[in-house]
Amino acid sequence: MKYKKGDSLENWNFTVIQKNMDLWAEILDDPNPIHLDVNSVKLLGLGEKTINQGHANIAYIINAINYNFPESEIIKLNNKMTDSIVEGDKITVSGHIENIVEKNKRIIITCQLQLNVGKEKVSVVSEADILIKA
Amino acid sequence: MIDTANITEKWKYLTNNSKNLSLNDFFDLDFPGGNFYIDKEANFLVNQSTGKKVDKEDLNNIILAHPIYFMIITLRGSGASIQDIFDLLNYDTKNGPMLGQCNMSFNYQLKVDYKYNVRGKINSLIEKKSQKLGKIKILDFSLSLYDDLSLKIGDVNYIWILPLGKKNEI
Repeated sequence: MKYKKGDSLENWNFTVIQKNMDLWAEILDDPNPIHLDVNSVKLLGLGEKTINQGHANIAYIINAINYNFPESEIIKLNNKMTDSIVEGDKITVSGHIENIVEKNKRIIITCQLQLNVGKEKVSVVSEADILIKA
Repeated sequence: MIDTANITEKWKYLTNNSKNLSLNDFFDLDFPGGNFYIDKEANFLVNQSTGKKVDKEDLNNIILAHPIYFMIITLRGSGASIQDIFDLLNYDTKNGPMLGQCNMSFNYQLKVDYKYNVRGKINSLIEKKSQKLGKIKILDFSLSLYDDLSLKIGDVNYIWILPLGKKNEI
């Protein structure tokens, strides 16, 4: 098997732009102005830039899993949002293999992942169980 | 069998009277329920907007939907939009509600050009003080996804953080 406990995942990167936040507001039918209107964000004291939808942040985690394990199926994904991602942020998803279980010809890999902006800001902390297809 | 009409009426009643209700009145409240169809063009946009490379010329060969559709479907197909949920709680979205946690379990992968049904309930609504945000409410709800044969496809549990401004004195 090519995967080992403790292995680091290959980093996955993306830049958040307003056009995609506008699209996600439509996809989710979510009128929350913090994603669309920078003045609302300022009025609420939440910063100087529009805030990305948490759902999109979780999609980046999923894409990083898919990038590292192309022949796989996610069977569990727990996500804790710890900080906001804002317009213009260059995000990186990193992680490592926490555990590997082989049972009944099935391999399930547990990964710890996190979505960062730079080295300091951690915005999402996730744990995923991934079924590796034979 | 779920009594959708009765649940919808209950949501209307609670929404109209939410100013006078206690937090416990929302405990165990069923969502009206509904369904959502995954359109292949929309799936393409979801992939593209989150940085996953998909060849548009390959659109007709794509069978599986992006797994983030678990979140999209459960919210869009629950019978209550995000705005409906905030209206139910008499919550002003100008205060900036935030997703706090989202835990998902998947029994099957999602397919494009396929319709899914959604059922769920509010688990709790509590009030707390946050050092960063001041007075907040925490909304905990769960939604499950089924295919047309009532086979459970997966579950999603959401925790939303609702900062309270002066307009929200529930």
